[in-house]
Amino acid sequence: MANNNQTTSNPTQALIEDIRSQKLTRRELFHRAAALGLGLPALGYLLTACAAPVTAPAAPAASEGTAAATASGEPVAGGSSIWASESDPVALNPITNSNFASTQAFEHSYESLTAYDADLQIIPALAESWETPDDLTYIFKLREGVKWHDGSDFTAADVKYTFDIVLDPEGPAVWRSNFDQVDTVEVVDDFTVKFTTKAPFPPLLGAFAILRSSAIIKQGAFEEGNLDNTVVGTGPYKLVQYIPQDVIEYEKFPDYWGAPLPYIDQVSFKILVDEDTRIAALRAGTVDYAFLTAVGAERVRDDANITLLEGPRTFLYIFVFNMERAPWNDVRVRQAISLATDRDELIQKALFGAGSVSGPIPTGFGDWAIPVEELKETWYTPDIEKAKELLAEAGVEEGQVLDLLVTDFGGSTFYTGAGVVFKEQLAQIGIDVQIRLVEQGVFIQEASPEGNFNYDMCINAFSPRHDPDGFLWARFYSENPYAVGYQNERMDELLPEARSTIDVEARHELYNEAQRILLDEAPMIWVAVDNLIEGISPRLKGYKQSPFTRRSWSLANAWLEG
Amino acid sequence: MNRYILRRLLLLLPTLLGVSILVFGLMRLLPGDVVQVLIGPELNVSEEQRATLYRMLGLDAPLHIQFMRWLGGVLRGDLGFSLRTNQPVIEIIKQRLPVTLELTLLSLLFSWLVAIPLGIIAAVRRNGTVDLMSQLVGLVGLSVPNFWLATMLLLLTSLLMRWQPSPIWVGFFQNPWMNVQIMLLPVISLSVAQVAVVMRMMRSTMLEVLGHDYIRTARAKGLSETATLYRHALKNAFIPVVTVMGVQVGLLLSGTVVIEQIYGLPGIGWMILNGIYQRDYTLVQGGVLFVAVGFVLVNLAVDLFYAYLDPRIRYA
Repeated sequence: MANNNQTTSNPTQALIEDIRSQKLTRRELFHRAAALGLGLPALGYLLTACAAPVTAPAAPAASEGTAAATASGEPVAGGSSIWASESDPVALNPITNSNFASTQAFEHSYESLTAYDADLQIIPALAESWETPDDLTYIFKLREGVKWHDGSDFTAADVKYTFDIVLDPEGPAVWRSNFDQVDTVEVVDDFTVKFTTKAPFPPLLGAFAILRSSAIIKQGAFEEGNLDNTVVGTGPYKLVQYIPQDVIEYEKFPDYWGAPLPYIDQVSFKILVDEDTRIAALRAGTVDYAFLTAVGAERVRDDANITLLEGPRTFLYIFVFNMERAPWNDVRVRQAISLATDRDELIQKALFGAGSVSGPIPTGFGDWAIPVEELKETWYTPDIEKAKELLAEAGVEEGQVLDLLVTDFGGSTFYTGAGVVFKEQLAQIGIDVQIRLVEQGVFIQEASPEGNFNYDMCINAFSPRHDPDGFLWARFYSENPYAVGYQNERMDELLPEARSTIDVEARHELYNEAQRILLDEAPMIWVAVDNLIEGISPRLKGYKQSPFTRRSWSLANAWLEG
Repeated sequence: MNRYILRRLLLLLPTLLGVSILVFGLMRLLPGDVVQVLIGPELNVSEEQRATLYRMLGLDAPLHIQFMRWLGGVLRGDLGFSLRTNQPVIEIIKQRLPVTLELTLLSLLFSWLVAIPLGIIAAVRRNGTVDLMSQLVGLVGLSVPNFWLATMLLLLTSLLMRWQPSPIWVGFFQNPWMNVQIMLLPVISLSVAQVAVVMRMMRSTMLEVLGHDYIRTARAKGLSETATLYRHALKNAFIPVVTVMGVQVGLLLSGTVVIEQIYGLPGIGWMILNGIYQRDYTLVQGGVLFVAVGFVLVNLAVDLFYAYLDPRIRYA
């Protein structure tokens, strides 16, 4: 990986220089970035990094204790480190698990053809390079000499094997929809694989990197091994053991192709779901890393033993309407609710200020998002009078009940806090929000097609997605089951077109139009993205935050001092 | 006596069958199932894919067949495989049992060592300083929730002393010193309420016993106060206390969930709770069955102990 960085960083650096000196037109920029294989979100970070006025994704607090502070000095190999993990992965099978905590656990051991670095650039991983002879064909040249953790050789047959399982329409791959445009996967030779797609499919490179039903497993592993509890991957760390709800232990894989990475010899992730315990362990120095909420961060802000990192993350909190039910199928009613929702208050009270407002594509997700200023001016300024008028027009009477389905997904103060604030806000326009707080399994049942979407609204979140398409397609393309009654002819044209448009600027325009329609029609209330807050011990060096809360790149590149 | 024990052990079978049916039924009555939890709240997964997942987990058969299959396995000593981690349930329980057992035994031991002498002294010196103090301690111990106490202990040790034990659990036989450090705070958090209960119980039954005629007789025939107390009063006063202790053991076997979670201890209680969240049917069924066996056996032991304490109690 280190070698790759050298080969890609110089042109990237040159690109940054050109942007700074404003030599480039927008089209040239996209063209050159695409040639470098920069990820879509990455491009936006690049832009914000070079030219602050372009967008302002970072929340106010983001400047404090930045990642750069820890990235100094020469890396030292060796040592062992315990990190606190805020959630239990439950199981490690990279194909059948949808939960993000599972990805956060196996990402250190499995790899895909591409990967993300900490800045969300798409970098080569198991594929050394790729070419696209036409819009429907991707030819990946695989890295030679890559070893599986059991010592055998990685070849194109493993890639083919993995994607035969993932693409099986009756197969168990829960994120199969990420690859639904892939038509065939062919082995050209031992180290060359050809993917063909049904339509031009720009999300493909990201779909590998996001590691959701895209980790490459060894040929035969699905049938032979226990993928839920053991891992044979190609990544920087070998899984030593995983004891559910207790600890995940890794050791450095000495034959890793990206040597000298990783630097730290042994890493254990101790599962500490209780934030008080994580803080106590950080304070006492028994762990080197812990994920924190804004409330927890306040408690340790002055602690010399803890370095706080704080930056934006693309974790988007939403209130979802059930538009199969009246009166929520009436656009005026939804607009009224959007107008009565004070997003700033929600951020202050439910995220304790550590977040920023967001449109349909999360703020901070490259330059795909609608800028915060525009959101606030055009759609997000609360207007109770207008909301009341709209409700009256729609014939909604005072005291209309709204069944709000809520569960605590953990890892955030938002889910349970926001319900109460929202209830107060809607009381001002005469809507009686009745909060129904249920356990997670019940929520999942009630908020699914099997449970007939049993709610008027529910509180949910988008975990990281690899492409703007991921925030829109499943929810707003009317034929998808999770559209929950939403139908708009223009959206049904825009979304299929956008997901198969290769030209980046044209894609931007399509998604811009789509987002504006969505903001006008409010099929959901996009509230905010929160800040990613992590506490690390001063001896941990080189750790960089990833806005996706993905830690594999950062762990492999981090080292222990002293 | 042996026949009694045998009969009680045989009675275990219908009890466990009842527990099995109950826990099997209750788990299936919960909304949402393991496949839905696996897929999560918003993924676009086709019907065919769902069917594959149900088949992979052996959940495509009718409920009664699933139950009989599972029960058949249990009778052969096979609790099945966890639906989420695909490990044998018996192995998972074995992994966690040392944590739960140690936590249970240590907190019982700790609470008895403190509570029983205090209770006796409080009863003997009624309305004395020790008695008043013990009443205060009892009141506070019962009123303070253990999760609050646990959090406070964490805060105090980490903030003031900058001390925390190893976050990763180490068994007593692997490294006794490290193990004791890890168990220290959890045991204190769990024991405080136990101390209060046992102490109050000890005090009141002791007071009651001390008022009986045979104590007066013992004193009248010139026995020393110590002999009266230990040879005549204590054993009789113990009976209700032992009952309370038996219940405590049962509760601790599965009821330390909150403490386990706060201190990140991988015990049985937390395993069962997470199994419920994940709808990991086999894991919960196996875990509950295991706890039920433990509960019944402890109760049996308590009953047998009665006979030792009071020779008038005979089982036939």
